[in-house]
Amino acid sequence: MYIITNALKNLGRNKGRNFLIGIILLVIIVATAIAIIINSTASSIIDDYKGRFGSEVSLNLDYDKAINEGNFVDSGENGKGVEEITPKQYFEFGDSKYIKEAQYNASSMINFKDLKPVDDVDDPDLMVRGYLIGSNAKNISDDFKKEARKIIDGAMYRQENECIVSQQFAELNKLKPGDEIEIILGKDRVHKLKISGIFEDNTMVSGGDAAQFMEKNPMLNRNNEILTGLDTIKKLGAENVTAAFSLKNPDDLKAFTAQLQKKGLPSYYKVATDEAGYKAVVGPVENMKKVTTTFMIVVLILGAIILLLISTLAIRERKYEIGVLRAMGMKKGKVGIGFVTEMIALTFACLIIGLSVSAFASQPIADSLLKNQIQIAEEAPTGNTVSHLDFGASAGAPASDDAKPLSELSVHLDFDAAIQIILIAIMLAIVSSIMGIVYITRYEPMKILSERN
Amino acid sequence: MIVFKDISKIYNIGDETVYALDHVDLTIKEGEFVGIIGPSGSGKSTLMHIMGCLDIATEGEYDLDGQSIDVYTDNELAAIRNKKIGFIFQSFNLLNKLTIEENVELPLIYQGVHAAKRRTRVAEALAQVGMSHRRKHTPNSISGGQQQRAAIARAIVTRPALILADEPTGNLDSKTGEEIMALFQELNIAGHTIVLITHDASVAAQAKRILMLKDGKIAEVRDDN
Repeated sequence: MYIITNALKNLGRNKGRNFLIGIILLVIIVATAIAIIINSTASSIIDDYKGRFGSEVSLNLDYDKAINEGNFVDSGENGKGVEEITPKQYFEFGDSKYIKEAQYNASSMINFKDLKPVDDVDDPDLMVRGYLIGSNAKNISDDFKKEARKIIDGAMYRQENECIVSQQFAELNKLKPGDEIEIILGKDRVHKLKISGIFEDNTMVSGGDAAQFMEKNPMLNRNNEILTGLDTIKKLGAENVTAAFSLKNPDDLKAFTAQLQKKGLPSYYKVATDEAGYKAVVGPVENMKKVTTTFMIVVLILGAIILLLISTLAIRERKYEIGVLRAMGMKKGKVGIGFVTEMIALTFACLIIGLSVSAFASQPIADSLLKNQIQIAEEAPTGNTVSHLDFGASAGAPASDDAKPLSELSVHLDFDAAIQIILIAIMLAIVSSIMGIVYITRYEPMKILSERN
Repeated sequence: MIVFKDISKIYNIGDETVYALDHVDLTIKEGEFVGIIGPSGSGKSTLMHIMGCLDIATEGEYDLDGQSIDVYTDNELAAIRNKKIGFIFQSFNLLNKLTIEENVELPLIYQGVHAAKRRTRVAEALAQVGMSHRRKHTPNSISGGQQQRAAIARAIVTRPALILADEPTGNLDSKTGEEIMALFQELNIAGHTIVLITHDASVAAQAKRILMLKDGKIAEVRDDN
């Protein structure tokens, strides 16, 4: 205890030197603490998004591989065509232990029996006048969430063979909830569906003036979409399916790919995550993390060198003190403990100040860095890493074109970051004390004193 | 108390072998006041360093209080220095950042003496050398003579049996030197064994026993005991 007390008193006795070392320690601690705080938050965000984007899987045709394996994308010529993934296969693919969630958009072209579609044309040969759409996908419910479509009468379909129809379609045919409609699938397969609700469709409004000049076609009018549950369309037979699979664990991608291939997925289909979307959203944060990590490493290396130099210069002054203390019979260990205690106390004071400063400064610095990285990302030419060719049926994670980069990062000092900063501070204290320890252990007291004398 | 048996200190400088101490045999009893005199380069400081456990002999055996110091580790030698030996240097070797009081207190701090007891012992030591009035001053703000008094207070504060003084008056004017020598006489009367190393015959003359060192060899000059 007396050695520690004396060491603490020594801090005040050598104000100038300790102030200089303290300033350097403070700068290093503040710089590294800010970098660690930003990195820690960035890491958890990156992990979170990696989980999200890494778990959403798309099946894309690898054009080059398909050609190399002797397949012709245009199947009309000699040779075999590219095998398309059938709706049945999609549903089989979704039945996997690796899958957390499978979202399907299934559709079939339909005609109506004794019902008029919106924008109908007088063409007896026209076999398709609308679509039956069955989905469990989020984008369908998103139309309703965003109020592009909303139920204005009745309720959403709940049971098999229930459906909802558009307001225009219902008014045209004088339909109301509870009524039954008959749809024709294929050439002559008639199927009855019960109307559970009527929705208002605003998705066509965005067509604007251009829509007025388009030729009338019931197939192009979304008011002729009959929406039903996935089970209903599965039973009736979907012609077209898109699927988005979410893996339980992004690391299962390889195993899931093997399983799909075992289930009949041709080898020229690439099972991929939405890397482009991930890059678009998290890229600036990742770059910011790289910048702060590099900055931290540079500061630590330079700081440690400067500390070593200053402590080497300072120890020349203290060398005499070491000589006197050792001549008076102080053990090397005790003199060493005194020196280390001084540095730890100084470092601890700097750590307290440094943590407080960095806790306040890290947010504006993170904002500024992120803004800078977003700007760089926006100015950089973009490129998609996966060639995406859609051949009828396809599966994919949500399109990355709309992905907006993270523009806000709420940084905070968490426990792990605090531990890292404390460990770095301890390391700095050791670096600062190391020259003193070297002198204490290397030189005999008489050598030091006789050099001085 | 101190027994040197055939002690030699050899330095190899290039191809040349230099005997700083050449087969020295010496015995100093408890309570003696011994002056060791000799010209520059005669081996005086080497003798003091070995005697003070700051250095070890190349050959021979050194017994302190009946025990050979050869068996001690570095830290054990430090403990012996701290408890049994008080050093007084020509250049005082006080720490300028500390007050006189704090300088004198240092050996006690590292001995682990309790604060209250430390204060009493420091006050006693400073009173013994007549420096109580300067206790709050730093070494830079007092005279050379006062600095040497403070250094003596630091040497005696642990109540060592042996005081080793290396040219204690070397940096002082003759009047102050005389005062310091008078202080040594008082310490010797108080029971301290004193070994004083000097090149000044008049200073050595105040010791009760005088030894002469020349070319690393020792010879008895006078013994009043």
